[in-house]
Amino acid sequence: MKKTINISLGGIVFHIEEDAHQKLSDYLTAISNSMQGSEGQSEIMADIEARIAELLQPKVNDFKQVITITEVQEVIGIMGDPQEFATGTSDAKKEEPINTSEKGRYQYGQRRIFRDPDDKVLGGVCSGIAYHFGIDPIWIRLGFGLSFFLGGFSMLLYILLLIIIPKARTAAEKLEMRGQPVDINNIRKIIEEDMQDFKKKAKDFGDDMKNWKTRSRTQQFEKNVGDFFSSLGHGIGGLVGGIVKGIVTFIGIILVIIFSCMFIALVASLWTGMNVVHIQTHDGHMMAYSVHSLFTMLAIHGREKMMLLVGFFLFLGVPLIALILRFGRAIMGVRQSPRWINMSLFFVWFAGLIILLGGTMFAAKHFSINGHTTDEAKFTLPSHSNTLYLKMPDRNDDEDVSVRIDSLNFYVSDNDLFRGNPSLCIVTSPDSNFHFVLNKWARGTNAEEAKDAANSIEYSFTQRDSSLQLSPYYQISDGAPWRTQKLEGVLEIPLNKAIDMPIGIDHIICSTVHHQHKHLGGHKWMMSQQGLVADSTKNN
Amino acid sequence: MEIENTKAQMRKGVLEFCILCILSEKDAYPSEIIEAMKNAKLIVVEGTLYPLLMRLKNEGQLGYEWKESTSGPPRKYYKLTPAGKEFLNGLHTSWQELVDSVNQIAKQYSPNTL
Repeated sequence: MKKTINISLGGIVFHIEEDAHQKLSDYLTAISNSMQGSEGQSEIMADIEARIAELLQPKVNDFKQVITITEVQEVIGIMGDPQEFATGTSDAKKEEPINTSEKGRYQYGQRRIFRDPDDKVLGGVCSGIAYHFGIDPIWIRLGFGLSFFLGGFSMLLYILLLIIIPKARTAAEKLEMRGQPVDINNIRKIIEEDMQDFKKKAKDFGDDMKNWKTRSRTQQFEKNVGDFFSSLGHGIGGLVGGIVKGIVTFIGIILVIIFSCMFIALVASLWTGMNVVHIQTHDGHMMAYSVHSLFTMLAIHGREKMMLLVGFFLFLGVPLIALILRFGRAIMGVRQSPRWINMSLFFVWFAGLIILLGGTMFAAKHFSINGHTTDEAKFTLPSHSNTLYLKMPDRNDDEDVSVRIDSLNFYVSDNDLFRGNPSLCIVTSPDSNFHFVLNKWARGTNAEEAKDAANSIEYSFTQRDSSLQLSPYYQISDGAPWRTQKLEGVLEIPLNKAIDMPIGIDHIICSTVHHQHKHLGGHKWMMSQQGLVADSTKNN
Repeated sequence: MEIENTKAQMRKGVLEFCILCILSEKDAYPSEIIEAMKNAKLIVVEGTLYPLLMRLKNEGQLGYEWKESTSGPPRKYYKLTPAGKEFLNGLHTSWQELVDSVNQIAKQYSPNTL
């Protein structure tokens, strides 16, 4: 079963099978090209079409209604080689035809890259590239074949090229693929090749090319002076055009390489354990974290993690692919991109956006509810003293912290435990005792989770005699997720008792009862009815 | 292949002359001209004819008119213009001269005499 097409030829309607139609239209194109630029071309074409119609008409009747490839071949046999048409008119010998719009594409010797449907293993990519560089396809195939085993990226590259490079469908495209001029002899050759075994013909190819070159050279000698000057102008124009094209191609290649590297980096960072976040620690070390370790640290697992990864990958990856395709096409001189590719790229990107937003929403739910717990410690000073000596080591001396972002109050210890600076409030005690209250906050999916997360805050302080030793950091217990835990220590000081503040404590003081001085650190303070006042009394 | 090519070149040189001769007898449309030339074994394929007709027309040797056909669409009938007739007379003379000269050379230098 074959599809038929209705055509009108010389004013008569024919049903013609698809392959026969392709052949006939190739043939007519070949004839038309052979007469390109000659006077009365369209008129001759009309005459020829009328004659072909006349020849085909007796071949159809009520019982046989369809033109097949056999009839077309017969007619072509009667009408003769497209070459015959060319030699009849001296005009047709002109090298630069007037019709430039079509000719610009078919500059002689100019190659465009196509996939070769006649010589393919998978998609004809390798043989197309081989034609482009004028080498045997076996080398390209070998290269691809070997690199398939060495790494996955050549597979990616092959698929990319399969999408970018169009298939050579018409005779003219096959000629462009081989870098032959789209002239009549070559089109004829292609049509003949379609009937014969292509691979056998390919061997004679080199010889044909030589013949063609000598022929075009002798034609060059016949040119008159006017032609010489016009070709000179054409040559200079061509040179400038060539340089511009070269620069554009060069920039295009650079861009494709850059975008490809970005894409590879994206794949590697999301789907392999490659380290992507590098943080310089305060002592000059570089700490590296992969995306996966970041997810682990933030305790985002399962569905949300998958959604975020996939969404992020599509959201960034698809535009990169689109850019690579765009510039890849530009380099290879492939003009239009199939509509379905652009459409599907857009849909995939949009799906990625939705997935990313969904994943972000699910992940954000872990931080939706605030939770709070309180621990309280009460202690009394020894009888001989009424001053509490507060002590806190300088946080800069803590060797244990590997990641430290002071502005975000975000720290990670060497054993991957999260830390933070507590804040400290000074208030008046309701009774005669010192109290130290720890307010812990965290977030979670629900109140219970938030409370659990808050409870995971560990803070160490020790009281000995009249001194209270505070740690500069609180820490989230091992295994607990990071849920924006915060710790506020409230130190309650009874009236008429004093506190000795260490230097460097000011950065954690959040709010306090009224005091005259801006800085508390390095001074001794007495709790009075009016709040903290500087205590000048010498104390043992 | 080589000999075929040369033969084709030789034929092509005289095709215009032959077309003009055929048309000098009566007006004809392309298929008739093709028929006549095929009978004389002058052309093998029809494609050659159309560009030649067009060129002769453009040079003013030929004109054409459309005539209704009993079978199918109207046909283009070619005929000689007065300029074409004059041109043909000139060609007749030079053809005779050419045939004489070529025959003479061909006889004088034929492979048999070597």
